[in-house]
Amino acid sequence: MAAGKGEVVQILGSVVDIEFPPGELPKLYSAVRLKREVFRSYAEADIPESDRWLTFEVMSELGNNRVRCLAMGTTDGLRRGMECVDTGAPITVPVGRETLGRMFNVLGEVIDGGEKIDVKQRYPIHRSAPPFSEQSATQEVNETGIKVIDLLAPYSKGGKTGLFGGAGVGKTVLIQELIHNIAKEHGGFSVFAGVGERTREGNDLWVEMKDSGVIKNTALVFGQMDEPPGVRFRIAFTGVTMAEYFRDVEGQNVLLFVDNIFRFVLAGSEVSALLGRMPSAVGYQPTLSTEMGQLEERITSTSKGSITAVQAIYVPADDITDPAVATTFTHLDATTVLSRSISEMGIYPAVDPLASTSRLLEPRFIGDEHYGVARGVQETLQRYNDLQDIIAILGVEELSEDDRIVVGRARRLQRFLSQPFNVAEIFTGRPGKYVPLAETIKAFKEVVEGKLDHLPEQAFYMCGGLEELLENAQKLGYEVGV
Amino acid sequence: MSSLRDIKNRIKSVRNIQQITKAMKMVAAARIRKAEDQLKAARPYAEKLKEVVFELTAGMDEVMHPLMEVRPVENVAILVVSSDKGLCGGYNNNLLKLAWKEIHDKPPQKLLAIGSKVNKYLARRRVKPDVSKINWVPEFELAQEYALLLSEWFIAGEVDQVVVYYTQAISAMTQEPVREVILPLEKEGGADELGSIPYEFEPSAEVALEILLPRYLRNVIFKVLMESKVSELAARLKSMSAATDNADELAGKLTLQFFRLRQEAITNEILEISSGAEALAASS
Repeated sequence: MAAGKGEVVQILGSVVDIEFPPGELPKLYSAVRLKREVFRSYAEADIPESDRWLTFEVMSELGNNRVRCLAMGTTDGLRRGMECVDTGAPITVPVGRETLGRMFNVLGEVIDGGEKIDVKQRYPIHRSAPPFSEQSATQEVNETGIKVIDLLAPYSKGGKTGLFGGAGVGKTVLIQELIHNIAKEHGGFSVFAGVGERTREGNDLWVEMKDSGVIKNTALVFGQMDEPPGVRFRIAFTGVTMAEYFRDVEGQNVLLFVDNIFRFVLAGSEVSALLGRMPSAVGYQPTLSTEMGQLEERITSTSKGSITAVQAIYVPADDITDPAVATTFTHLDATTVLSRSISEMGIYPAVDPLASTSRLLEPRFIGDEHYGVARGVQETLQRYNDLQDIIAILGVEELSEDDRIVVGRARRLQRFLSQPFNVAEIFTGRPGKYVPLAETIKAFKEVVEGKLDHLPEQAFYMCGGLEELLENAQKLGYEVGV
Repeated sequence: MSSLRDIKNRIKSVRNIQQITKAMKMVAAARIRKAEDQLKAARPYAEKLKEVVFELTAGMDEVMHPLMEVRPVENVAILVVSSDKGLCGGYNNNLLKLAWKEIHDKPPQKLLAIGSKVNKYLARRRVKPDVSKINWVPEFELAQEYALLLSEWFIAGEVDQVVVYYTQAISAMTQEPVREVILPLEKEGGADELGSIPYEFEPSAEVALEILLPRYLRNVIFKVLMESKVSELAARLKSMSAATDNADELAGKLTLQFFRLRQEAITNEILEISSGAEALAASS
């Protein structure tokens, strides 16, 4: 065996053991490459360039000159005894303005079918989080144009936001609407990381971005459902690395969208046992919070620049106490929880107004008026929630008059929290609405104060601001008289 | 998602509510019989009285008694009869909604409120009734008191019409809020059908009416009170038995959810322990 070259000794799905000559073991997290052999029935030219090489990442040292590695690609067609080369460095990805407008895989290779890019600089995907002294946090609200989010769980500029939701409640649609609303207005650079989600959605997004022109300021990285766990495990780091460059070198406010952080955890859990780790709570990897910390701590704002991150998090079986979900919670500044019961009522976005919170929801950040209205909305809805059992048993008739008013108002609020989306226009047939924060506060203030109690519930459903609400009511034949 | 303990608490609270509704249902069932008997017992007298009064007045052309004097309606007295207690479905609500329309649109000269529900309702809307009564039972004395008061106002010309809002018991399952004019007493042309036999009065028709009409009025009010009570109890019986069923259903649903969650937790724990043990056995 030549120097720096090893050979495959064991293959366990995505986890491969490689033996190196004594004293020439690769370092942890360094990349090891292997040239694939071609199946006899194929010509070498049939195989795309990117598939000719398989990259591994060294995960642990086993003793006896062996290292255990994680494959960043399929291990089909591998056999024992194949030769591997230690690259002597971690996986690196291209960074800089060249990445804008392009689509990459976990290794930083272009996958949009376009021409190769002229890479000026590459960063390793494993980097340390910014130290305490460099971190900074602004307390400025990042307007999203989505009523329920702006009002009850405002996003902060340079902060981290999580969108939690079970299967099919609208996480991806919401994140796409956010891209639509924020990235367009934003003007700065954005990075989108697709982690283990549907490939189709990635394609939809790409096409959408090309149409709207946002693509020229956006770098996309994808490691979707069709990829092996190693890819889904590291793709988020690829995205973060690209965003970090814009933050640290260009001093920008970067938008980072990740869909879906849970797939990152899941990929880690898929390989955890193969790497020889004991399963922990609910079968997750014992290193769950470490892995999460390594990723999340890098997504932060520093004195040089900031990263405003929006991450979707799948909630398995609608159980918000699931360890993967609970671990993510702790890292976030604002959480938007999508709930099944609300989506079943046909209210979209199905944001749970009582479970969603934000660090910014304090009078000193958002002002007394906004705070008062937000708390008023929550109080009304909470009261309605508390009365649910009584209503189910005794009926609305038995409530006191005050409570009956609260119930009516809460039902109106619930409906008013729905909003037509631009990205969902093809499904709903209603044009999307962007509602400025000031208008949101004004409209909800009227509702909470009971000034609109006389209007029918229907009028509150799927509309934008106050004006549209009144228009709806008029269409339904109600006297508006404001 | 709620935890096991949350669900357990909810089941407990639902069961507690159910106990109350069940008790209310039984109390209403026991009382309604008594109230119905009372109403039935009063009926022959009321009918006969009505018959006599109508026959008496049918033959008369001019107004023989001040209680029958029809004047242009300017001032109205309204009497509203509600229940004292809740937990009887839409009983009070429906009645009050009906009554409020008139009270609000044309504020009456005199307002009489019987029952704590109507009094609370009015207090919320900052309307002060002239006479209010809570904790009432359908007693003859009560009817007497109101009959005296109302006829006094009517005769003195303070009011030109007396309207009563109450809930009529149509059947055990249906009650309906109604509005009825009780003063001035109407003359009905029913006498002819009865094959009018001309009565002779001794000493005179005026004296007979003087005695009969107040009695008649008293009886009308007494009947209103009894009807209200019967309707209240029937409404309560109906709504409480529905509530008890609802509580059963809800508790059943929650119990199922509870079992499912508990089983899930147990399965999970077994899975973790056994896979842990297996992993340990394999590695050693």
